[in-house]
Amino acid sequence: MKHHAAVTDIDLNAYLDCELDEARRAEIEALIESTPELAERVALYRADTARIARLHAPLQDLPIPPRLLEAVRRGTAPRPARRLAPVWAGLSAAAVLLLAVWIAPSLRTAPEPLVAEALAVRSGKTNPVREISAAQLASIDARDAVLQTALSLPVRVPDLERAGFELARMQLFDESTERKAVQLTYRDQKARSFTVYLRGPAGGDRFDLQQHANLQVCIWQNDSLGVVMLGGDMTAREMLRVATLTYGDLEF
Amino acid sequence: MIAFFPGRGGRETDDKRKADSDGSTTEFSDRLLAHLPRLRRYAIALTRNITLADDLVQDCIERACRKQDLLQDPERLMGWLRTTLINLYRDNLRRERRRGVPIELDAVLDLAGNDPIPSDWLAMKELAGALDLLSPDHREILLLAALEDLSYREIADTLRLPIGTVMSRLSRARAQLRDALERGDVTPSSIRSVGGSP
Repeated sequence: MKHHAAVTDIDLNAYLDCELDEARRAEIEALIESTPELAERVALYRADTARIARLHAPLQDLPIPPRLLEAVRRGTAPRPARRLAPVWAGLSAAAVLLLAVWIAPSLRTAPEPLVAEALAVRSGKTNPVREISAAQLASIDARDAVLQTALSLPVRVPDLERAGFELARMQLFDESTERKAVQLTYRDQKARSFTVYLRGPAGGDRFDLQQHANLQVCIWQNDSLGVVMLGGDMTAREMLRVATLTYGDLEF
Repeated sequence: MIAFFPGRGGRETDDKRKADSDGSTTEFSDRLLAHLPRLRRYAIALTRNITLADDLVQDCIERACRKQDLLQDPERLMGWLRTTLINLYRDNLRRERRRGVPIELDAVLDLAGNDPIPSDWLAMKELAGALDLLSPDHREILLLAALEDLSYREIADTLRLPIGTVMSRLSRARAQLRDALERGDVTPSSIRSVGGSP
């Protein structure tokens, strides 16, 4: 809506909300003072704004329902250690070394289908139907929404900053309606790549650690979701830490 | 190869978090509680439905608790909560979820212990009805400016919009509200008030 050759409704709003610099403010103010129509419009907007605040002000005094207070208490209570945590915490350096030796035989065996899928995706042998860079999805919620839509599951994009990894891209692989898949690629400052391959139903509950060539492999799955985490140039100890963070942050 | 079967029970608990969890979670809890009245007010104003508003606030709290490691900056918590609430609200609109028993504005004000009949009560009810007629986009931005008293920069951050879009959308929202009031689209009998579905 244009009221005057030199002032628009956007200007009037910015004036009302004190968002103009001093020079422009003075200019608009002079126009308002000399134009009754503008002065009336500003007065009405100002009155509407004040009434919106007054109309809703009492809502802030409403007692908070017990269920919301309980949600805060439950959400911020010290959390019991998860079953995974003692496993991780109990792994001494020696145990990790032993683990590395123990899993070494898997180097010589062909990867199982789920891992083979993840390896093919990571190596670029499987083309995504869609690729989104992290820069295109700046907010946590936007990333979660893409992942949840792609998989039709309430999973969240893990935040691995605590492990030094930042999300670089999301790749969507729509193999079929029942077995949609997504690869999340993370990178750290050493340019190491950590990928999380997620896809639909993969089988029963399972958590495995393996090694294939120079990649650490961590597999977690349940009846609804299969996850293969692949870390390059990582020790088994590092892999366990990043995989634990990933597992926790998926919130599934 | 090793194999074990972890249960689900919340996010990871690393050593650092164990070490300072008691102090920081108490502090986080206090900050969250301090923001609740204002967050709930915005949710009710946005949805015009107390039950739906409380569902959104509860979802928001639960999400904040899950992300509390990333939300330790007190200055950013309220903004994060508000953005999350708006996103949840939009998700609800997309799913067209409608539930909860409508509660009249008069009842809400009574609950708050305020004078139920202010001098410009009719004008206030017309305003509530006019707000109901706005699109969700216009209502959320107008409430951020007029009720939450946010700057354009803060609104832009909350809604993840360029400042120019904030300015034009807010301008349209105010103009549409005024037009609805001036056209007389809103009469006391047609007012759905805070309890009406969005």
